[in-house]
Amino acid sequence: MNWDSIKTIWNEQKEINKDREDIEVLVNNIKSVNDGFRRSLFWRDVREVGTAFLLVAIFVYLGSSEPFLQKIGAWFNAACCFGVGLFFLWSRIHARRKPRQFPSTVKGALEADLWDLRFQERLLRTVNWWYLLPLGIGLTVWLVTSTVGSSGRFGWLFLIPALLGIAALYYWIYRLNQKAVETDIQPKQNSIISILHQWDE
Amino acid sequence: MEINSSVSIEDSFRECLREHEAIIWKVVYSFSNDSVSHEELYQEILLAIWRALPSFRRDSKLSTWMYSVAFRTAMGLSRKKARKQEIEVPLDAFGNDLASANTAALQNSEDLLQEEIKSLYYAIRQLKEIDRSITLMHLDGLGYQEIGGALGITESNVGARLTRIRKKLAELLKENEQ
Repeated sequence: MNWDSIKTIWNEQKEINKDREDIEVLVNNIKSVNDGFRRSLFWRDVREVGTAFLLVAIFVYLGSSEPFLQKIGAWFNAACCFGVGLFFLWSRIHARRKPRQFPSTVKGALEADLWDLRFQERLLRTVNWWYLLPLGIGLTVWLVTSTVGSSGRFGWLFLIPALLGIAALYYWIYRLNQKAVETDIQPKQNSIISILHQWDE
Repeated sequence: MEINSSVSIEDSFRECLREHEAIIWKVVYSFSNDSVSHEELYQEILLAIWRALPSFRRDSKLSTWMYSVAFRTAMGLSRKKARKQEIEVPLDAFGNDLASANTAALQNSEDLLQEEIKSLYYAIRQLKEIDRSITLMHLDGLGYQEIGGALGITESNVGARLTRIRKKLAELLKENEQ
């Protein structure tokens, strides 16, 4: 089959769903799906930022009411939660202020997708440093100072399992993030890279 | 059509559908291979167009811009399904209008055409993503400059690739016939 025959077949295909009568239904559906997506993003942001600032409030309260030794841990924890909350808030406001421009070429769009994925990978790979470590140190300091300051020698019976529990929880969160990189982000990156290679062939 | 800032996204979106919905379906059939994927990709492309409309800069034709958005979305979605086995497109996936011919003679010619279109889309799906994109735009009559501008390659590159694509597509159609 030559190219002219291919073109003839192509041009003779009927325009699918041309003059459809249900455009209004479709527009309303897409609008509603998009609104639903925006709402879910908004409430996700509220949950993340809200939790961080709720923890700040709790530790500020504890810091103002406890004896000096416990104060150190509580205030340190409040500062860590504040830092994490501020980071969440800044990143959300930054993302909303910067209008998402669709790159003018498909290649540019794929490169932008790749950049986003690499940024996500960096965030998840370093979750230890910007999220787990500050909160973990704060919580450990608070637990140690609270236990040593108030519970005497029996406090260790509570402290050790609590610290082990926190360590296990943080390791699980860390592994969850690393798994997301390995099973979701890296395959997507590899796929974009392989598609982008087609531009150089 | 131009996306005017005074026109709402809804109105612009309606115009996209009225004028160029066929583009979306052509991309859908070229990048996905079963009716479930068709529906999924179609909806993803509609959503992508809706979200990208506010940033449409009017420096290219709406049809070319829609192709860009659709290709990017299709390439994104096909990444998720990269390992899926190729499945033949069901006959009714081409829309009710192709099956509604009311005379036997017309029905026969429609069926024949449909078979040929099916074979063509099947062959197109066997090309690499960038070659599929070039093929679709070229078959729809877009010039080298527009194709190159949409994809991010030079006009001469479009020409060189099209020479290879034509040969490859003819081979694939011949293989599929046998």
